[in-house]
Amino acid sequence: MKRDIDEVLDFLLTEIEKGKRIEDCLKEFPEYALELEPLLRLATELNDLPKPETRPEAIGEALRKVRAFVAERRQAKKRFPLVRFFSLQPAIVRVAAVVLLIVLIGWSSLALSTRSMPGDFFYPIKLVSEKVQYIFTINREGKAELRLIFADKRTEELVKMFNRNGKFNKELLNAMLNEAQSALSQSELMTGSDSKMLLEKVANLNQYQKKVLEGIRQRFCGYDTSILDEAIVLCFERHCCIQNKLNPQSGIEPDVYYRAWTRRCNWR
Amino acid sequence: MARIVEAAKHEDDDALAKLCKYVYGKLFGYIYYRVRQREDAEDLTSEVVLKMVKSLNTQKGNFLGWIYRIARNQIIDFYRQRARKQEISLESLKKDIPSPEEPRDYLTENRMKEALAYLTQDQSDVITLKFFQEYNNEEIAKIMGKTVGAIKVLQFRALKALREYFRKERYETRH
Repeated sequence: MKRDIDEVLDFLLTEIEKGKRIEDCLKEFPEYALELEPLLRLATELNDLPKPETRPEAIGEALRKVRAFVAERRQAKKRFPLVRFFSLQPAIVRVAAVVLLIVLIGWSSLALSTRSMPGDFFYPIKLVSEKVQYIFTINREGKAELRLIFADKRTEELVKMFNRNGKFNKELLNAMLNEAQSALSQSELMTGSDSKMLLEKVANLNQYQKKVLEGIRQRFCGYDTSILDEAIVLCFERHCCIQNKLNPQSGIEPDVYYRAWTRRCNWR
Repeated sequence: MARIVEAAKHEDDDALAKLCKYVYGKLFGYIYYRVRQREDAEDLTSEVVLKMVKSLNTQKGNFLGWIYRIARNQIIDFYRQRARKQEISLESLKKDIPSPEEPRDYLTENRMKEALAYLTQDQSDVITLKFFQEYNNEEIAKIMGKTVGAIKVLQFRALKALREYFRKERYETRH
């Protein structure tokens, strides 16, 4: 079988290395002799070129740089033992540690945010986490339940803020009434017993919100109580509205019904 | 060798020194034929050794292949930086070497450097590793991450390209 020319060249280079003459090598492969002869002569010339010698001073200089770097790295590791510990771990462990750290920070931020109040550092995190929770809740009943929970939280916050500084927070007032309105809207998308159950829950919440607002109204020392009065009226209208929905025979004017059912609060 | 590399990874001073000397010796011959000045070759080799120490903990697989890869990248960076700084391209190396007085009937280091610059990166690697560093085909295959068959083909093409280069060079000198 005919051998490839690159195979033959490699074989002959080995033969020449062992001491065989180029002419003798080529006699074995006359079909390649013309092409291989100059290449073998060139290879011999390459082999004869002087091999570059290293200078001890240059090696010494390289070693000096390496030692300086190693000493500096050791110092840094002594200064930052945690960095040293992590630098010795495999990449997967380092990645896992970073992920764990992120999860821990996220979890502790969430835990701290649950008790936060408007104006606190963690309060925006609380609102964002509520939004995320709402987005990831798929079924309608769950979303409606969340609206009720958020409305309840805002009402509690309103009371706490009022007890703390004697002022009522308009944004919280807007939020608590709007969350209740959102729950009402959700009831329209449901049917039968689900809708009725939700309406009953909203009715309870609405009554609670009304009582809270009446309590604040009595204790409020500010001169402008018009917003609170308006909010109490809205709660009353919503109550009528819900009762009408639960018991259609009770009779309620259509414009009142529409206003109470759809109104979004935006007091400033 | 593997034991020295492992010990060096754990910052054993003796192992690290031995490894650095070994790597310096191996790489200097490789880099020497790629740059014009001996001083540049020494600086580059020293930088490669330092880079090796810096990233020794991340080293996996064939050690020689790894250090030659670092050296190869360092040489590419060297020419890139020079081209940026002095506005000279890789072509300048081909034109600068050798001096006009240099006899052209026999092979010299400088003429070899000039010729290597005309080969592809893989071809010049095979020539350097085989003829100046005296590795066998199996070792070269491991260093370059190729098969022995591919190394033989590269060797044939590299010698042919070199032969062609020197033939043209002699013709141009005489006319």
